Amino acid sequence: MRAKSGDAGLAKRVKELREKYNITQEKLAELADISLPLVQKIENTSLYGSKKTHEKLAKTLGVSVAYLVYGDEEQKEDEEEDPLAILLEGDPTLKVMLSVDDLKNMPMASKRAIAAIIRAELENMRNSK
Amino acid sequence: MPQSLPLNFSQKAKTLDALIHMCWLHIGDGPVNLEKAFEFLNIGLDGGPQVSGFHGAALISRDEDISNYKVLINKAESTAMQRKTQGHELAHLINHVTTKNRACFSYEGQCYSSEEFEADCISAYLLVPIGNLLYAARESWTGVQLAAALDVPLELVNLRFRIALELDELNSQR
Repeated sequence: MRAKSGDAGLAKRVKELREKYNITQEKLAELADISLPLVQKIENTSLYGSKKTHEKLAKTLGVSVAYLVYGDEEQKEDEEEDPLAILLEGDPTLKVMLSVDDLKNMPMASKRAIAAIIRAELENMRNSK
Repeated sequence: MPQSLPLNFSQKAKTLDALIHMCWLHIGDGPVNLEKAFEFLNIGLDGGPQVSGFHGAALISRDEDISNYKVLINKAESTAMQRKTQGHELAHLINHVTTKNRACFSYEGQCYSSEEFEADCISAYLLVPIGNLLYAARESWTGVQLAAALDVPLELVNLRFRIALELDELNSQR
C-alpha cells in the first residue's frame, strides 16, 4: 500500500502557530485532544491528518480550518463555496458519504458536477417515496 | 426496486456478519455477489458522476422513520474498481449509518479515516474470500494474478492478505 504523506504548508503553519503560543507538541496534542504521534507526524510532513484532526487543531490554535490547511484567504473563500461542502452540510435528513480521491485538489467544475448529480439523486429518492 | 431497507440496525449488522462469514466459512466458494446483496437489502445501485477522482457515494434520505438508501458508482472506472467501491459503499451503509454527514476519502486521497479503512476492509472480506487467498498461496499465485482472477484491484488483495496475516499472528499469540 502507498504510504500516507503530509503537507509541507500545513506542517509549517501548525509548527509556527504552536511556537507562537510557545507550547510544546505534547501540550498541543493534549489541548487538541489528539495523540502526540499525530502532531509529530503532521509537523514532520509524514501525515496529512483527517478533517476532524484539522478541525481540532484549528480550534486549538485559534485559526480557521481553511487557513490551517490552505494557508491563504483565497483558498479559504474557495473552501466556503465548495459545492460538495454545501451539499454535505445541508439538510439534516440527508446523509452523503463520498468516496473521492484528493478532494482538496479536485477541480471546482468536477465538484459542481458531482454535487449536481447527487442532489438530483437525493431529490429522486425523496420523490419516489 | 423498493428502496426502503426493511431491516433494523441490529439485523443489518447481522446481515453484514452473514456476508462476511460466507467468505470465511465457505472455503472454495467465490466472492459475495454484491449486486445480489444490494438487491436483497433493497438498496438502489446506479451509475453516478463519471468524474475523474470520484469512485462512488452512499446516499441516505431520511423521512420520519423511513430511510432510503442508494449507492452511486462511477461506471467510467474499471469493473475491478467498481466492484471494490460497491463493497466499500455497502459497508458504509450497513456500518456507518449513524455517523454525521461527511465526505469520505479513499486511500489515494490524503485523508483516510478509520471508517474508510473499515469500509475497505469489509470490501476486501466480501470480494476476496479466505478460500481464494489460500488457494492462491498454495498455487504460488502473485497478488496480480489473484486480483485479475477475482476482478478486484490489487490493493484490495493486498489488504485482504494483510488482514489474514495479522489475524493469523493474533491467533498464534493466543
